[in-house]
Amino acid sequence: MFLRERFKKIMNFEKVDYIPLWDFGFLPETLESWYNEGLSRNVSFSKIFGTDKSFEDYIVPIKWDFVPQFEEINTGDTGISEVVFSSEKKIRRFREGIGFDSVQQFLEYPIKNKSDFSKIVKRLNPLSAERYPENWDNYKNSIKNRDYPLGIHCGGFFSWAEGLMGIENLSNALYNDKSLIMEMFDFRLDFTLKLIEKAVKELDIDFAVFFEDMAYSKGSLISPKLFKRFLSKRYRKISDFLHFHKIDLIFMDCDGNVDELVPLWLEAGINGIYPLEVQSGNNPRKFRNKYGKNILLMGGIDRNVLLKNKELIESEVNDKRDLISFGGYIPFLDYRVSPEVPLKKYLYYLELMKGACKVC
Amino acid sequence: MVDLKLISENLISGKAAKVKELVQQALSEGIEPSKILKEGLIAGMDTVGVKFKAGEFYIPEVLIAARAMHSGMEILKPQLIKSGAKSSGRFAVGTVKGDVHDIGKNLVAMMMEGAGFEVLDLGTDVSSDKFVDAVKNKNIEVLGMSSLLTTTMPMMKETIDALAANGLKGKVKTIIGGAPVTQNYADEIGADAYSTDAASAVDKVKALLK
Repeated sequence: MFLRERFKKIMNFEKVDYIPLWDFGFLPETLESWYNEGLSRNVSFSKIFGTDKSFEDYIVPIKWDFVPQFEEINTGDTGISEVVFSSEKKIRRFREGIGFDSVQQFLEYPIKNKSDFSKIVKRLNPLSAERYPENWDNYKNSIKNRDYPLGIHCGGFFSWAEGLMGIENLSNALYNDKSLIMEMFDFRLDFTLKLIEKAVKELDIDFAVFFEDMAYSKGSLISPKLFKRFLSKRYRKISDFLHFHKIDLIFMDCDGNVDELVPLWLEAGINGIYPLEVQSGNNPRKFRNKYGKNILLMGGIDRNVLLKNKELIESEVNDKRDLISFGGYIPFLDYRVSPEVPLKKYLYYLELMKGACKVC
Repeated sequence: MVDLKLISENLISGKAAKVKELVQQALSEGIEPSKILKEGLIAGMDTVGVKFKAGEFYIPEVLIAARAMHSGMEILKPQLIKSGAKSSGRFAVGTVKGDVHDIGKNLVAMMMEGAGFEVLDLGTDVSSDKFVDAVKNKNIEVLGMSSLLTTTMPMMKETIDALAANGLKGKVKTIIGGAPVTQNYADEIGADAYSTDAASAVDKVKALLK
């Protein structure tokens, strides 16, 4: 059985030989620390660790960002550059480095009003040729006989607006400048549908992914009331479009506690969630018990357990065995591995996972 | 005569322009600035804190209420200074070095202002040196540190150690918070308090200053 078939069967609650062994990535400082512990450089992690390539490696390569990008200039200080929005406005600062030394900071958010928004719209033409791989036909041929699941990104609304406005301006606009929010979200919906249309129609896509960091450790950033007012219908239009083209595995990538958001997403046609951050109170068992087979789950292994002893790591992995057997769930760490985790411990965790992921 | 409850109610609903107008009206009617602060703005933010803790308010509702409070404070602050009214205390807050998450930190700053504290917001990606400088030079009574990442949490310890190395540990109280932070971690690094959310931070800081 190939990965593609396996993935689809798992998400359809059917029996498989084993569950893909996926990671959620590694922080750069973790890798540096592991290289010092003897990890080979320049060899793929899947080869070294015996893992499968992560599902995020199989997303159709479409550009969602500004085309052209805003200019990035050197400030004169070593390793520090800034992104220029207009002659008066610098929007981001980057500091190069590893770990604490590398920072990307907003200096000012680009959008405060409709006039600002009209300036960026020019750079968000969904039909711009640069958004798709240069040789689209070659790309299409290269994936025709693939053995892995292919996914499509579907963007998001809240996180996108938050990145452009900042949470304070966005919050204010949700109450006091609704027409700006409506205009932005309508634009984003139209942009999304136009952007993904070619890929959805011409490729045999297996799953879709939204990205919305709209929760924090205690719960949703916004109320169900605001969600329903501004987001539900727009997600629904995208999910209807995906369903029409037989893409029924639609995931939401959202950190934080998503308890309150899950029913809203389900109602909007989004039927999968990850990475299920455990420290924020998420637990795959809780969602499985509450929603049965109506929800697909990925992630949900507590990253912090890798900082603890072997017994606790084993207990965390074993705790997921019956959920894995039930189907509709692919476990992996709920965040990128942190640098405090020694390589040996990560390898120990992987061995346990290899055992747990063999289901027959 | 302006009913100060009206200021609170408009603040709770996030009506910044109305709050500004009512504060102005209250001042022109000769109501004591400290009374307007306490019974109008602080009372309103207290309710916002209660509603937030109860899950009735979400982040946008808190942020627009804080914006309304600021619009009232803009007018009130010069009058408070003139009248010699004392603040609840001097509080500085920042997100530690390597971390640029600021929602939690901003909420804490707003809630503290709403509780009548003078707040120095040091921003994000704040080094231990910058925290120490602020405590030394700005007469800070309580220092708040926020971190959303397990990788940046050690910067909290580094800052507390730096405060001690500069002879400031006994002069300033420290409070920490952020998604991965726990009471155990606060105990482990010698922080004076830990808060699970912005509204509770106000209560914790008040307790530290008692």
